[in-house]
Amino acid sequence: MQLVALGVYGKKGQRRDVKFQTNALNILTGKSKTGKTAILDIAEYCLGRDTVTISQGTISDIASWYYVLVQFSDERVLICRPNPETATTNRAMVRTGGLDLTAPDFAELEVNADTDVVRDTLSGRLGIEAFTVEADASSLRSSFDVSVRQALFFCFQTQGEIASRDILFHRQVKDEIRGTIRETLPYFLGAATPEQAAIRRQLVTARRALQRTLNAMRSMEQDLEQQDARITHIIESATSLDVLPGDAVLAREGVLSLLEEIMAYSTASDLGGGDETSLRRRLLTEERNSLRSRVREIDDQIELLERLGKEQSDELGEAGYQVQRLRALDLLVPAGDLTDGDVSVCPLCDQSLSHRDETIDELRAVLERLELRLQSSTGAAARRDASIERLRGRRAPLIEAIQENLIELDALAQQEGAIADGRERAERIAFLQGRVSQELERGVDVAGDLAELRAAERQQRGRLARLEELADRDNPDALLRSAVDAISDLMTDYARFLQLEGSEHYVRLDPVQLTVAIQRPGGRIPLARMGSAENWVGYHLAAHLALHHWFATNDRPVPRFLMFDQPTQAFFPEEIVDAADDENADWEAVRRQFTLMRDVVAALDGSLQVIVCDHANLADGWFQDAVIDNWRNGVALIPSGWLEE
Amino acid sequence: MSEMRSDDSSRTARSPEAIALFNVVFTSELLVNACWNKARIGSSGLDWPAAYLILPLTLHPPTRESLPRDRRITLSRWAVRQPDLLADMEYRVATMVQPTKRAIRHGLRARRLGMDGTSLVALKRPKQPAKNWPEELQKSVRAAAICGQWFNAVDTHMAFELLGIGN
Repeated sequence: MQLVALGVYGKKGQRRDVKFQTNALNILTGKSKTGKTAILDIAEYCLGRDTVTISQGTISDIASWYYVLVQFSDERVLICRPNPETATTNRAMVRTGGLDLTAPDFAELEVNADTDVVRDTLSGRLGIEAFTVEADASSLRSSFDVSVRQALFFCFQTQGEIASRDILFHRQVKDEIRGTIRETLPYFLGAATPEQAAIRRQLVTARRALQRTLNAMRSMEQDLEQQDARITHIIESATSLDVLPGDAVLAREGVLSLLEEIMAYSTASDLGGGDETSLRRRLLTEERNSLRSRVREIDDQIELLERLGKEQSDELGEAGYQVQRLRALDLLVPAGDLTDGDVSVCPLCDQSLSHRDETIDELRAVLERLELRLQSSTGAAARRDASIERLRGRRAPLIEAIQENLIELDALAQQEGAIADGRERAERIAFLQGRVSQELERGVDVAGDLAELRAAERQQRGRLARLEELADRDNPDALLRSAVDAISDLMTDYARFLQLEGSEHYVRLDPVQLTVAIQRPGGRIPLARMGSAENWVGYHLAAHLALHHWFATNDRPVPRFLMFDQPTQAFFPEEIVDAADDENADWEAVRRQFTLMRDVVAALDGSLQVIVCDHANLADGWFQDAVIDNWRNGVALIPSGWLEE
Repeated sequence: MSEMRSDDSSRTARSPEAIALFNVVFTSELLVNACWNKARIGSSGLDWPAAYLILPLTLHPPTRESLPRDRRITLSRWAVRQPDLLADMEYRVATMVQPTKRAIRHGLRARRLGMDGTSLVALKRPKQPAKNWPEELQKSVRAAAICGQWFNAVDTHMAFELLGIGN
């Protein structure tokens, strides 16, 4: 891709074209403030940049559209961009055509695309493959697709950039751009191909898959170890609960069937009968309560009778005493001995007693009454004893019934205990079945799964090895090193041609630091440590010409043009108006620069276009042949007539 | 004293149980036995006031059961060993005053007892307890004999002192 023309449309429809020669050195010479620098800005803007860098002033005031016409091997692409009112825009007009395509009339201008379309159009035609630059894990930047946008960083050198010792590439001053250039340079040098990127992506994926498989295997192996213990415990529990026969042998191949057997075991037959037992127990309890109540009633009656008997017995005992003492009448006193005598007179003092003593007869009467009472009491006691005996007779069968009731209740309790045991067993079996279910969900036949995983691991390792072999065979680092070496060789030659300081040593492109460095025996000297603007510009020229030499000779998808703005600035005073008038300038050095450009373009034989905007205007015939325009004596990008209008 | 008051107030106030338990034939015979055994061992009859101790000692069953059969156990030694029985001895003695008086009067009237100065003496030898006697009668007579013998070894006023009466 080279530039055929670019230009500016005035607001009234007029157009100013700047035409270039393809495959050649193009020198646009002229005085300051004629719009030379704007040429780069217009070209970059039209080629898809969203930010407008064209200086505010005459051009931006007058221009309504800008355009650039680029040519590929057999077609042209016209890109027009409206002069934006703000600093950024993405509006564009894209038109493609044959090699006869030219800038359209003003009336034909219309926005029909945006900068994405511009970039896609150019990228496709340049042959930039679909290649995604993966962002580093440590980077905050996101992945991006390589396009002409990145390729153009290698095609421009503005006035400030070409004489800078700190930056080598266009817009490298921004960190984001610096990173982008560093990541895409290997691709544009041919060291990193989409295939390699795909292989690297596949490598990453394969390594992750292998790691996942290894993790799964490790986890499964651990689980397998623990599962053995768990299943052994389950089988032991099942045999102890009689769910499995006592001789259930734990063998890995039979585990699944044993577990399924446990799951299929039903405890329904072990349960039931609870309600019937409960009813029977209630009836027995009621019966026992009734029996006890009747026994208590009989006991109360017996107790009452016995208490009455005891009370009567006490009374009879007392009466017995009385009788025994009254017996003294019969045993000690002779009959009739005491019947006489006045018992109302004291025999000691012969005085009358206020109350007479009892006579023997009276005492005998008392004895008789007592004896009668005793006799009758004996009969009552006998009747009472008979009653008590009868009650005891009724009590005995009740006691027997209570004992039978107790025996039956005890049997019932044992039966209930058995039912409770059965219920507990059923609960334990249900719990066991839960554990078995859990185990089955985990997968008992993990040995098979493990074998699958091992097979997958072997497969993945094989795939990884193949990918690593592919990656090694097409080692991007080695390719990059090789490309950089070749470019560095050219740079060294160019630097020596330009007679730059340190060029007697090996000059090397640093694709990481994005700079140029001299490899001398005492150490490495980067561009930033070198002195004089002449060297800075010289190494910029050498680096970019060498790079484009590589791009062209290796058919890399980078536009085949280089635009330099004021490469000779180092040889002129600061406030220069027209370098052509300066007799003190180092014209030889200037000549060397242009000669180098001419020679490189010639060496590449139509594969490179160099566009230089500069004050210099050498009288040499080859130089004058390369001059496409000379903006002096009132000639400038914006014709004076536009200003007057 | 209550016994005396009830006895003084009305003849009919005396209960049939009291008449039966403390019938004069029985109680006077106990005094006869005590006097006879007192005089049999010693030379004189039972001191008049001492007669009032015989019935309380022989008719109260627990007291009677505690009386020693061994003659060498004196009243004083027995009294020292039986503090519980002595606790209400004074009350029992007071209660038995009227029955004792009746017994003495019946003994005198039936000429089973006599007076020798201020002592009571048995005029006839009392009957020895026999097998056909009621147990109560046998025990009481034997106890009365023991008590009679005791009063040969102790003065009456000392006996009252030892039994805690009149303190």
